[in-house]
Amino acid sequence: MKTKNYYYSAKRGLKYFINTFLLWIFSLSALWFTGCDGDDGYPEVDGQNPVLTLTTTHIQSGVGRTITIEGSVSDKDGISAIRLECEDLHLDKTINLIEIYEKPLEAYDLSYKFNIQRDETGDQFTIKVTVTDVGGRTVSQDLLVTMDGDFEKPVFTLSPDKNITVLIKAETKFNLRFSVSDDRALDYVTIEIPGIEGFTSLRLEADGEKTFDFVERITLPNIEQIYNVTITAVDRMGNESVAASMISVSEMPDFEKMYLADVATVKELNSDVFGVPMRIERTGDYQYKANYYNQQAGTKIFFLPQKSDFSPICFGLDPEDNSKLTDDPETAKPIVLEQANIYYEITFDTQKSTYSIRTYPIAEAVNPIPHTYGSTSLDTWGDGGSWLQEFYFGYMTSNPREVERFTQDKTNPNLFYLEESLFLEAGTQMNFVIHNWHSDGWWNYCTWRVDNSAEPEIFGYYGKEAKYTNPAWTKPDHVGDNWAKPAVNTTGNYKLIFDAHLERAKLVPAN
Amino acid sequence: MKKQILLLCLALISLGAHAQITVRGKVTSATDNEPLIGATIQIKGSGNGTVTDLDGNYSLSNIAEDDVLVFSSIGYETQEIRVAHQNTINVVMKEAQELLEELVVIGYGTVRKSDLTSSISTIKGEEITKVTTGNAMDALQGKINGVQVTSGGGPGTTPKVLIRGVTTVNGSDPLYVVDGMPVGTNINFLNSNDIESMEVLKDASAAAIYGTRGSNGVILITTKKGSAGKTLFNFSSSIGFQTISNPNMAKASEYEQVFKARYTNDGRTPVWNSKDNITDAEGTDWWNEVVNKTALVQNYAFGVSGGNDKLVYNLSMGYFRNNSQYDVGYWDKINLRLNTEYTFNQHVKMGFDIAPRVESWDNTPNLFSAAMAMDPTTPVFKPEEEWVDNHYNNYARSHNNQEWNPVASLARQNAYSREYGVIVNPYLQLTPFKGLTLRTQFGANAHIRRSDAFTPEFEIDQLEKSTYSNVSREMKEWLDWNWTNTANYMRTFDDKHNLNLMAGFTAERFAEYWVKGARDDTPNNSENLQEVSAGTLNQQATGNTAYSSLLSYIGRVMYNYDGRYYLTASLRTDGSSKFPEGNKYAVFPSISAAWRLTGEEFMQHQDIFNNLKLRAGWGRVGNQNIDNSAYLTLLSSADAVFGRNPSRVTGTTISSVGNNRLKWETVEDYNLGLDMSFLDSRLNVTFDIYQKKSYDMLYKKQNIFAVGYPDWNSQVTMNIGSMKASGWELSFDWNDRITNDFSYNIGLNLSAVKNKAVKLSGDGPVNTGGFNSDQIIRNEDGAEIGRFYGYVADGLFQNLSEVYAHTDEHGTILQPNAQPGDIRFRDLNHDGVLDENDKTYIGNAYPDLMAGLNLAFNYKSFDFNANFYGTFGNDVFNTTKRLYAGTNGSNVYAGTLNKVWHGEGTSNDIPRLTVNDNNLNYTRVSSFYVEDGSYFRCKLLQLGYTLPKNIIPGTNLRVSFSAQNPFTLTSYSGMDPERPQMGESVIETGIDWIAYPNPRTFLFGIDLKF
Repeated sequence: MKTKNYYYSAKRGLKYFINTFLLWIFSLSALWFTGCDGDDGYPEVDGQNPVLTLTTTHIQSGVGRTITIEGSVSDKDGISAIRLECEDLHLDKTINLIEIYEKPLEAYDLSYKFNIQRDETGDQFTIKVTVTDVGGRTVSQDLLVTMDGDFEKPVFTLSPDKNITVLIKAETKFNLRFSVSDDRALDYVTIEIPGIEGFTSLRLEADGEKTFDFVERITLPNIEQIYNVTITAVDRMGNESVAASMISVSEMPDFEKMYLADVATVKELNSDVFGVPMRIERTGDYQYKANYYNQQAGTKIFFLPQKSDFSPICFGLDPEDNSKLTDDPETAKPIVLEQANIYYEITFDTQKSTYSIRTYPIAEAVNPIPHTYGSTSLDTWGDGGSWLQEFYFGYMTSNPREVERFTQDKTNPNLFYLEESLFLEAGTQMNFVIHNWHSDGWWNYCTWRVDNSAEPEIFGYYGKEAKYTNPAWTKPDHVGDNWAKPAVNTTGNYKLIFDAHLERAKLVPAN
Repeated sequence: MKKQILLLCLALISLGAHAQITVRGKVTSATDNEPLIGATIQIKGSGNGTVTDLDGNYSLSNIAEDDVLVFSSIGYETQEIRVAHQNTINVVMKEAQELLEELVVIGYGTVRKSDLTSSISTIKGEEITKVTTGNAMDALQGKINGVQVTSGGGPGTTPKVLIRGVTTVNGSDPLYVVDGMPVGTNINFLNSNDIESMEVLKDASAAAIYGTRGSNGVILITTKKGSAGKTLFNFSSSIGFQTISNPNMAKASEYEQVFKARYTNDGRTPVWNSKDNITDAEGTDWWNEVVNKTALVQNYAFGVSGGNDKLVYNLSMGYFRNNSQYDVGYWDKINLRLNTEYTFNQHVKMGFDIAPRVESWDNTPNLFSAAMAMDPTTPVFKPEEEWVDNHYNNYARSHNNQEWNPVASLARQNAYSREYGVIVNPYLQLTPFKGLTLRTQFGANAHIRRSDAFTPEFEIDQLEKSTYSNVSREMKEWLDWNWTNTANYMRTFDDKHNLNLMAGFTAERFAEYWVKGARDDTPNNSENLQEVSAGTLNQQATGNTAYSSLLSYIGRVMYNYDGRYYLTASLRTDGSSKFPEGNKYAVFPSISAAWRLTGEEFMQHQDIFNNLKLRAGWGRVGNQNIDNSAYLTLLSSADAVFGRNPSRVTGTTISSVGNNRLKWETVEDYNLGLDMSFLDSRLNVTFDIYQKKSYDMLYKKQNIFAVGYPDWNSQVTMNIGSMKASGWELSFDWNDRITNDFSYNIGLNLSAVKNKAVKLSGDGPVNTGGFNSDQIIRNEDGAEIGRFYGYVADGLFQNLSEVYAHTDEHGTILQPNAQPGDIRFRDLNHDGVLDENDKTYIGNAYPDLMAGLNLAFNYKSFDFNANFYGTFGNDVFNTTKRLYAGTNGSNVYAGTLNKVWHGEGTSNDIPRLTVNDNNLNYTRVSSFYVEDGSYFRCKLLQLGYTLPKNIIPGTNLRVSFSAQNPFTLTSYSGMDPERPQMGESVIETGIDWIAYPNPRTFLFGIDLKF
């Protein structure tokens, strides 16, 4: 009997729970369905196709250029999306206006930028613009993009220094030398040198070539005079660039700056981003001192007061008296550095044309670096060394946590370079510091500051505190600009080389 | 036949000797027909008697025919039987009606379970000891609804226990009270075999009587006591081993390919320092070198209990040891406990409990991460020709990354602690007249710990060395005492009015003393010189004392009318030394009521509900889990670097900023519950819904900079926060016996809780979980806590078109550094810039649902138990996905080459290999790392067999085989979905940093009683 009751109770209980459960499910379902919006559609207004009006159906462009697809779109029912397609350009973009604006728009001004990649090889492309409204109706229009646009100004890859001194000679001459390039086609170049016959307004046709080189020896009157040179290059689209220079005809001046050139050609003089020719030290009136690390026996060097050319002044050995220097680029012979892996110190006097040379070994070349490179020695907290971290420095573009580490030369510990070359595009303005790495991004250890942010020539040590400087280093801290911001004229891979003893760095094309 | 002859002889002898006879028989339980062990049989009025043996048998000689035998056993109705001429008296004892429902321990008293008005859950000791663990709370997982237990992995790891969610940032652990003495928030010290039962006070109406520290719930633990009767011995042991899964890292050849691909994919030349085209055989399997396949677990317990009508005792000894998966690292403890109670007369009773213990542990290192990341082309040791006397120098430096050699780290591991402790708990109980009980109890908990550590001097490489050795010793002493005095009065009026009154006061003091000495540069690494005095440099000594005290007055009224209407009200006033004058005291009231509907007349005619009770409760509990000196401004020595040209300055400065207006943090709790029994009480269902909300939550708020404190000292504790936990619990428990041979039990617990930060600091979101200069978790006022906040990863770019199409509506490229194979992050606000404003909530560390499933089957001599536990709807921020990137030359998961994106359509989850990671695939906090952390884990499978009693007469021997954590159902790809829920705090949890996972454990056990 009791067993029966169990079953009866179980049955009743089960029934009760099933009923309750079903009622619960039903209630929830009812709530769910009645509570839901259930209608994601939008009401139709006119049921017409969208209207698409592109601002232009043809855009002239080029690789690396950004085009803007513009037009107006309207649809009374509401615009749902706009799709831009061009398989060859890897363009497949859907602008989902409902997602962005959370409602369909009746009118929309299309303005979409698209960058054409540098490696595109085609001459023309067709972009299909398709507009879809909320009713699924679509309308399309094609936009032709041709690669014949010209937007870049001509670039002077070689131009005279801004200030050039020409010495008065029996026959005072000046080599006017420049090279211009254009990504499309050069039209003409004008040269204006008021006061010089034949150059008051000279126009030279470039005939649509991409490069134009000019070299001509100009004879100048043998009187002290200043001439302004203006060179204007114009491409077929009328884009123009101007290079200006001021030529001073005078007796030998006392040059504020002097450079050491260890390259053989004008092209090499001008292919660097900075550092070639190398700035040397002025020690007194007409007196200069050049310290130089010679990596290869037989390196030939000259000294130049201008950076872009070996003329009009080039100090080299006087062929008639090797104990003297001459300033004549046509006769000067290079000073040949015969010993490799050693530092040279050359002092000279431009007035007396005298010079002297000495060498000193790497071991005597002191640098300001406070610790063994790569050792665990950087005092993280500056508290005497409660926590030491690895000490190294290198190329830094953001903060000391992110430093591209220099490789230390195995022969000369003063010499450092970036293992990986830097790819830089023409027109880029660099922004970097040579700085130590610090895990917390602190700037307080050691850095090398530049003399001139835009045209760095000296990378002087700035140790912040005496304890962050090699005690053997006696030069005072170099207070200059933190960031080096040189401009890049030619696209390519560059190698960064830094000499901590000389406080000089150069960025030259990588082989 | 022999027995019968013997009986006949005995009977004849008895008859000849003044009609004295011997009476034998068997005492069984009416409930399950099982023999009753230890039942008392006394000759009424004589004081002579005996107890039943393991088979329920008894024998009493020299019995007169007119004697009356009194059969009694705890929990059963006492029976009196006149002997007359009976030589055999078999007795079937019925459970006492008033004890049919178990007694439940509540704060400062006990109550019948049926009389409960608040939410209290009970678990018996035998349920706990089914699981072999060092901390009894591990065994509670999934067995008590609303109690979220998250287990760690390593030896001695304390499980994280959350009772009904989170309402404070000031510690989430509940208060443990052992035999009436609060012992803090960790019961690692307790031997699981000593536990008779555990009661979990879940709501404030239950916990308010522990108002001081009850805001996270209270767990009352009652240890085993002796009972009058035959001396009973028991011995149990379980021995087995643990394993953890091998994460399966790449071998040398694949590592080389991945390493180089990272560079070549970026157009760079690999900086590879190992041999080219290395074979797997030439490489090193670091996981196998560092992590052992098995780790030993052993547990032994021996106990003896018994007594008479005056003295009862229970003596137990236990030894537990758990080795780590490394060659070093273990935790063991030796426990001893003696519980005694002496009844002087019907008015005076005294008890004395003492529980000494010794705990030892060799620190377990965390080298899983290093073993996984280490370069597999590096050998363990340098070439033998480079070896030097200091063997710590002979390990190899990683060839291709900066990971320290984990085998070398393991060899250097040398940190050890030993702790000696004792808990004494004497009490005196007076019963001047029936119904009134006066009790005073003074408990003390004292322990001393010595911790030694030695770091050797070594130099494997410039970047992997310790220039000086370091040796340290730390001594800590804790001395806590608690004095509890209560008066309890119980009386029933007119058979229907049941009254239970309690009043009392308690005083508690907690003290901690510590000192630490350390020096650097011992003359060498010799074991004999690993003493602080042997150090030659940088000698340091530190030490301090911390103490706090509480004084409380308590009172409670419990009343029920006719077992139908129940009312309980309690009040506790607490004074704490942690608060300033004027705010030291706070009052914590509670009230709860219940209505047993099945006691009503109108329910007598239904047969659906065997029991139907409605409960409702309200209460306030407090929290004072802050620094002892939080209201004081303190000074200490300082050492800082100042100035434009930084220089180091030492001196004295403010070390913490006090708040002289601090007051108690209060949690207010509402609970509504329903208890139901169906089908002749075979099915029990309990449902609770609750809400807890804290007020004046203590929070360390950043001070105003203008005040001038150094920023790291300028936090000040203030009563400014509020948190809320709302949830429900539903549990089903089915018990049935199909035949006398087969019975079973099925329990299912379901619960859910939402934890919301009503207000934290008021200074905007509190971000936690540092990750690459960002934070993973955002805790925002008015929203749920513990949610991951970051970018939405929308798959991978499969081709250039997808890269170029990832723009705003005007074509602004959102990820200019992206390439096919990189992660596409969504620009949520469509502003054309991917920045902080595009972050959103991308996951939740807390589960939507927690479930426990417990099965028990008994068939003849076999028993089978299975426990399952799972959480659902929670997410894990799986940082181990970085092991697909090979960042900084780290090793990668095996199969990475194929699993990462390596061409269109090859993957939409794991990005391409890159050394620069210009797209920030692995450095951004994003949903790329977020995985569903739901899991359903088998916690225990246990098969037991009780040997027939005739094999070893007089004994009861059970053998068992257990598998703990044998399998887990989850889609989570990391090592353990449970471990990340341990977290750093309640507002920083759910992040997988590769901590010690929960191991699988296989055990063989025996349980012997005689």
